[in-house]
Amino acid sequence: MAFGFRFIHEKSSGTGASERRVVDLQQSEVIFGRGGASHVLLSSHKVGTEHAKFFWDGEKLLVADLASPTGVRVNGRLVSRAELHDGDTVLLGDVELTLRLDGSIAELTWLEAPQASIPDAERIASAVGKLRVDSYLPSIRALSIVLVALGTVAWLAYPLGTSSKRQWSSGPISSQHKLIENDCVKCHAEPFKPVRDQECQACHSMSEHAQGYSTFVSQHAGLEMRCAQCHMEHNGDHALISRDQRFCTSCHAEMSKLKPGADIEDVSSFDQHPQFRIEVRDALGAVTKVSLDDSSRAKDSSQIKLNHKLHLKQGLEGKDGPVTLECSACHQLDENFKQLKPIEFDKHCRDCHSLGFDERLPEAEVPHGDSEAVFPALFAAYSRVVLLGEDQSLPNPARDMERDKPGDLDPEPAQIEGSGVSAVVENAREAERQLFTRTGCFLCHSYKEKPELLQTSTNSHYEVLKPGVPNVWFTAARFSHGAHEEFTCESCHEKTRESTQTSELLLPGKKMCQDCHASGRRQGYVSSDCVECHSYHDSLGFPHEKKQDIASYIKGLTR
Amino acid sequence: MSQETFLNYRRFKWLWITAAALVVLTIIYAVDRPIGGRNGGTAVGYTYGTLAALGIVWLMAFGLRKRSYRSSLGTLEGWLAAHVWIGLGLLLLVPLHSGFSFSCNVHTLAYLLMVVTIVTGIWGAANYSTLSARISAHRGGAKDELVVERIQDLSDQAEQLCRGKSEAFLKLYNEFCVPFKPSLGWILLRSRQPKVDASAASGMLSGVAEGERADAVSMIGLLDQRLDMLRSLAEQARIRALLRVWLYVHVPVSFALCVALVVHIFSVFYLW
Repeated sequence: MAFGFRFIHEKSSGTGASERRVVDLQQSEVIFGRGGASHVLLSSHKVGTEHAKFFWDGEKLLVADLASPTGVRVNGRLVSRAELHDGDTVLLGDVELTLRLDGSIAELTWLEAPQASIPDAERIASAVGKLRVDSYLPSIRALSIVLVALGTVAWLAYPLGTSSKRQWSSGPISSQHKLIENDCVKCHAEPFKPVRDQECQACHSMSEHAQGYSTFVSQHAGLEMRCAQCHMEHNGDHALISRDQRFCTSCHAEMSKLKPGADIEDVSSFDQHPQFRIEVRDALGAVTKVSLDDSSRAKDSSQIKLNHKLHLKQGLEGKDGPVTLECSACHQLDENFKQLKPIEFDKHCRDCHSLGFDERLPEAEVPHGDSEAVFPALFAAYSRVVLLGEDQSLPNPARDMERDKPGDLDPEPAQIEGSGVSAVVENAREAERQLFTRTGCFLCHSYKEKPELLQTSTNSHYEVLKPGVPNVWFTAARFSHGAHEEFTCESCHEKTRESTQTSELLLPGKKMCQDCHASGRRQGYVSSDCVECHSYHDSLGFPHEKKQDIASYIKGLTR
Repeated sequence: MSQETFLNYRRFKWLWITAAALVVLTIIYAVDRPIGGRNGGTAVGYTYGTLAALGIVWLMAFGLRKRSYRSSLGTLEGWLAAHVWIGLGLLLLVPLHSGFSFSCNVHTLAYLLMVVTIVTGIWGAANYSTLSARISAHRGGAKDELVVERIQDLSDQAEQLCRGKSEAFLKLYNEFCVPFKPSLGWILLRSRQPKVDASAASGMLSGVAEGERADAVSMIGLLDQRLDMLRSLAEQARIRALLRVWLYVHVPVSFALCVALVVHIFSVFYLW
């Protein structure tokens, strides 16, 4: 198969038009040069007369330097003789030929630039330019403009234009508010305005701290008192309900100055806490606060007679034999294991204390809890015997169970004398008088005889004074008995076993608490700030009119 | 005693001023125990935030000052010294402002951009203090244009020697005449600098015919000289690139930081 060469010379002028010359040579050996025996003429002073020979040896294409003045370079390497492949560039002086080897045709193309040779100065300047890092990179100014534009869009325009402002969040939201985390406007209702209380109160309902709060706020216009000032959000879980006692002590350390005459003592910390105070009711029912240290006034003014010493004696006479009472026989924790349940006659007293009124009517008892019900009950009991003639001497299970002192003869009950309504009234009134002033009620309760004006033929002529046993003594604080369950009652209520009078207070004072609790972080002590015992305001729960359907609420959330 | 530079300007005047200010600010920070904990919203937080923002604005103003050759607002060297040390001080001042709280938000982003700006600044300052003395132009060395021209001359001369020589001779030439092709890698990476496999080359020299030996030795001499010049050209280019390339991060990121700073301040009061 015959081998052939094709030489293409394209010369473009500066204006874009180009000149094309094609030379086809059906021979296996071609000489390129400026003249002489050259088959292909190259018009460049850097090319030798007979510069190089391209030839096909039957298997491969080769190039050979014919002792040219500027040499032959194949792909940049200076050669005297070299094998050529498709795509190679061959440089003869300043003539660059690109080879396309297609079967038996070798196509050599010379694309001549408008100015065949680049002036040295320009070439050197371009080489030097390539030594500068700037020639490889976009300009700093362009980079800055792009970053500023991108930043403005991504960090400002996008959050402003959409509801997604999470990237502006100043910190992690508390777990309690995670549900509404993406709904910034739920709290931040108006841009550039601090979070208002009404946004908090859309979900939460709270008692005011003190009755004077609203007047206080109205009198101190400059002083902001917002929920969000104490309840700081976007600080994770630890700051939403802050235990920082300075929220309280910033005012309470100098309440005597801030509110003179308000009977509020100064407290700067639990270590500096004044002695605890209880509410004492005077004869007219007026309440004053009295320190536990004021032994002459700090008395239990409950209208009940209780002898702790007697009740805690070993081997008391019980319903089924001797019993020894423990504190828990009467004082029991409520369902939440925090407070103590109130003492109830039916649960705690009735087993030993009967409300019978006439040993001739052993099965009859007056009701407990309502002194107005006593006389009607007595009247009814005596009526049944006197008017209806019920035989009170008939065997009666209630009477048979009645306790008898050993050795006592079972005396035949005396018959109730008389007849008619007057006998009933007479007996009932006498029993009433005995119950209120000597036996039954009198054992525990104080009584008051009604003024004659209020005495009628059908009502009770006495009334039991309200016991007024406080369910909680320290009303301004919270104390959890359940949290202190590991200790015996008497480790705090020390003098209970010696106490014979109700008026003796058995409450522990602050020294007892300070054995374990201290303000700040003192080693070996429970760290106790104000909210350990006090609350600023009470949760009033969720007001009914604000309740909403959870399904629609959740649908309304942005997630 | 080394000469004064932008770092030790007036015996580290700005370093001491910055350090003293930071000590005072840190003590105030440590003593201050705001209700609700330390954060950007306390009195100290707002004050430090304002200081830091003003600091950033002033540091950005260095870009203007260095271009205004007629400015009478202190020497450029003094400005640069203050720029470096006050800039470094912001690394601590900003965490003091935020109470060291960081999160995934635009506020921490602003801090991160500031850190990137400062770290590239440190890199740039380190480059200046270690490399600038090695720029040969500063020591009366030849300009790049002359060096490139000289390199071309040398390879032309070597090429002349190749005329009519054997294959072995040309091979030797090709081995020694490493092409001059500057690229970003050639400039920035030491490993990309021109080099010759010396043992292979000496093996090749022994392959050259006796008659061509003398020309071969002188050609190698020429090309060796050329290689030396290439190497020093590459090294100079690398040094100048290192003195420049950090700015490609430092400046654009500092502008991005300004955007983030504005968004930080805006968003904090938008969601007050």
